[in-house]
Amino acid sequence: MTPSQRRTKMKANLLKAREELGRLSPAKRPRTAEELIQRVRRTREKIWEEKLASHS
Amino acid sequence: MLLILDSNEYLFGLGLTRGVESEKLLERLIEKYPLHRIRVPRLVSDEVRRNLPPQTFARFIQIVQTFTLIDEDAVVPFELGARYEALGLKPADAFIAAYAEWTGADVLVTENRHFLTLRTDLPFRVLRAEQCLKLL
Repeated sequence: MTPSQRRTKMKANLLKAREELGRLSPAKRPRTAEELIQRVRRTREKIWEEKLASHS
Repeated sequence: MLLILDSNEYLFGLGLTRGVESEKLLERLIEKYPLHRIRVPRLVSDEVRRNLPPQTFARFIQIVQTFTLIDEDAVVPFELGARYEALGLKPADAFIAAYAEWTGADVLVTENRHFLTLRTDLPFRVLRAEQCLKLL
């Protein structure tokens, strides 16, 4: 696949991802940027705790 | 330029919540492919997975795998992470910073203020999407 074809494929995936997320119920989406950042922080801490637990 | 994008950048960029600059960043990286490179650690991929519906996560994977393979977290030396913890980062954030150093990244892009307050004499720059766009 050429770089141009790869770009086209990535753009298509990006657009489809945005369409899918646009259809998500508002209840499932963080309403503000800060809410998203905090949600990801919680996810990060949870994954890290799980990693530690699996190694202990 | 080699970039590490924090998971919040991907989630904004894909449109989970509106984040115009992060959206533009992802678009710019794709438009300029293969000029810039990105690397992705397993931790970031897992964080994105847990915050997206499965079919949208599959699209994320298709995009990032065009740029790179996902690195397993174990490849990053423990001592490197410990050094960033000593700078005041929480362990998982310290891992991301260590990963950025280990890969030789030029920039860690994030909207996470815990990173953005890091001191400036690091081997990589820590920038918000808005700042990073000016370099690309």
